[in-house]
Amino acid sequence: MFFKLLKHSWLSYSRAHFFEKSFYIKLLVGFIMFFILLNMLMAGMTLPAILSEIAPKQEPHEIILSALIFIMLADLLIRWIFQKIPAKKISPYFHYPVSKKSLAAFFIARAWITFFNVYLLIFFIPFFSITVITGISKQAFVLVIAGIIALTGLNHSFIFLLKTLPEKNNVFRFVLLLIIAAFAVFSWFYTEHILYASLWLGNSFLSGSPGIFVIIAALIIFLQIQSKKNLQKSFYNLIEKRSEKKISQKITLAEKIFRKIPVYGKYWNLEWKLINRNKRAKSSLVQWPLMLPLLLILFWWLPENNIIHLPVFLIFFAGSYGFFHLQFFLSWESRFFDFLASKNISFNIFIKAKFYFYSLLALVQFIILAPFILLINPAYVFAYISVMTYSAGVIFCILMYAGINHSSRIDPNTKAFFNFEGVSSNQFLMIALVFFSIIPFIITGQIIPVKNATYWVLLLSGVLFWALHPVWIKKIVNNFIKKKYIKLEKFRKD
Amino acid sequence: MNISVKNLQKYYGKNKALDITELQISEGELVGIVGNNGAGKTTFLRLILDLLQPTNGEILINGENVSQSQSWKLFTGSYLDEGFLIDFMTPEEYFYFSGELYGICKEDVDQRLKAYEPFMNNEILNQKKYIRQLSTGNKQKTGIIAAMIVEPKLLLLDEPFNSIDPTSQIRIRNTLKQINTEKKTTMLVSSHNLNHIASACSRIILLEKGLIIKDITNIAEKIKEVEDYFSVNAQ
Repeated sequence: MFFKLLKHSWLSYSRAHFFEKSFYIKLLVGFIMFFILLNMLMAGMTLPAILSEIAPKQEPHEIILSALIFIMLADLLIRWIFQKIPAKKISPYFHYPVSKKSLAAFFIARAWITFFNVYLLIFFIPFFSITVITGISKQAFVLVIAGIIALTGLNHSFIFLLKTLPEKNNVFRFVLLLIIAAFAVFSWFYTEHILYASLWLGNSFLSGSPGIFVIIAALIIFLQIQSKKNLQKSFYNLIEKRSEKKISQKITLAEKIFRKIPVYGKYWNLEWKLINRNKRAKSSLVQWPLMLPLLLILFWWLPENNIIHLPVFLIFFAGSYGFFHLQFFLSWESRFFDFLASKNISFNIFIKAKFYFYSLLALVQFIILAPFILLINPAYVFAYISVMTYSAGVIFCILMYAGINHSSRIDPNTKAFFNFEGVSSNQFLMIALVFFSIIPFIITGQIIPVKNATYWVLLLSGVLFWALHPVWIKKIVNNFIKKKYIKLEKFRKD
Repeated sequence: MNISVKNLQKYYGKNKALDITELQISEGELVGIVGNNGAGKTTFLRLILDLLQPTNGEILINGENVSQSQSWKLFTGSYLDEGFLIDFMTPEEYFYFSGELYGICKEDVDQRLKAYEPFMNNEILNQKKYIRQLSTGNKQKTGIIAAMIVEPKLLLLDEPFNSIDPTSQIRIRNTLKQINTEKKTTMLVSSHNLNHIASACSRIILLEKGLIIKDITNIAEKIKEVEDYFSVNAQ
């Protein structure tokens, strides 16, 4: 049975939606993965020399080992966000004559086969093999790698336990949150202590201290046993969870406001619900505010004379969430497009509603950021306004116009990460076009001998496109109507 | 609302899915469309709703070509499958949104929903669930009610008796008959359930491999013919 289940796991992976994608998408994603791994490998190979130059008085492996706790915490965070437990695919096996104990044992064993248990080694193995030449013995190399494998296993087991916890076990989650908060505070004030503890841990591995290996192994066994128990208990939850979930029926402030807006209000309400009630759509919306402080840091960090290069960065931010959402223009509605197409809806108004909605969102973002930008450097306010106008005018036009060629179905409620549903090679070309569209403006800005010429040209282009939006939206609608049946047919396909 | 079909053909690649030379459906008719899987029932309904492009021919509703006019949509209610549900809305929100598109205010939608309370069986309204969290049967009911509460002059339903309990099936059947009698609504209902179709409809169209095999109006006398047709096929 173990091997049959293993075979099913392989089939579910090899027949996943991603593998049905076009060759170019697979090539691109493959290249990105290869690039990341190559970078880690290169980092592992070159870091010893770099560290020797930066800190000649310290051994490179000591520096890395001092940061071991922070590296493993970062690994934990990455796993928390990205690592999925295969147990979610377990429910089809419930009605077979297989004991729940065996199923739980299988999925616990199967979960070890994951990229997350390997990727750190791609950095650490070359790193420590080079430090063998410069300092540590071969035996110490084997021991430290064994130690890192042990810590990886500990992280894996810990994440597995967290993700198999019964939903109601909030006490454990609260305690965990307190520990993390306490650790964050402690590491802020006593960074040196953490670095010292980390080095001690690393040296324990190097010296082959059996105690540390036994403790980690015991912890892994304990966590795995707890996970198995949780998994067995959560089998029922996997089935019941769907029917139990209740939602709030209170009308939100946004809905109340949208209801009062004539013509476009009902479509804004639909858009608002679409991006708020679906996992994939919502995750980008929720992440968006987290990116804004980065933008402010960028403003703070850039010297004023570098304002010429600012639009290159701003182009991704100033259009706000619309920049991401409109990349899948109309595909978001693919699951209910038959409904929209069979109703008395003017697609001109429907598309205009979308355009106004995301333009407004860009403006709201500016209003929130403006006081901070003013504080950092008032000169950036004009730069921001001009790129925002360009985004809402020119970029939204490009995204929506190119979006007419999207015919891919999207389930907006599926997972957000590593989800390639709806992604097409056109989209990559479109983003490249959007990105490169700003270069002529920068060049023009350099040629015209007027202060802030780039920004004036961007502003004027944005205003022009915004003013002409009834014309190009009409063109989009006409193109859409021509392709309506093809789109509808493809939207129906899972 | 009357429907007129002329030389209608639909091909998927080289496969012919539908071929109807001529068909007239008069105002106030309750037409049942029956046929085995792949007979072309859903394709026909999608073509009427302008959700598919005919390979040849045209469909006119009240003399207007459905692919060249939008005005028929104001008087047409439909539910074909889950592609007609906005599954991240609650059923209430979905009913209000559907009503809004037909110019019906929230209060009127609430009023009209009262008539469907027995059909909803306390499992659809006020459940604090999105449509995607409802059972298949309740999703089906939500779609059917949304199509009906707008009180259309033309109603299209695809397999409305599927996935729902026997009591609800009978309720739908009776509601369709009642609306058809009282409001003279033209209705096209596709189904595999011959009993319900025979009981509710004034006319039955039997499709097979995209062709109209039988078009029966005197149902009481001729339903046996339809049953025999399927029995022979089964053997």
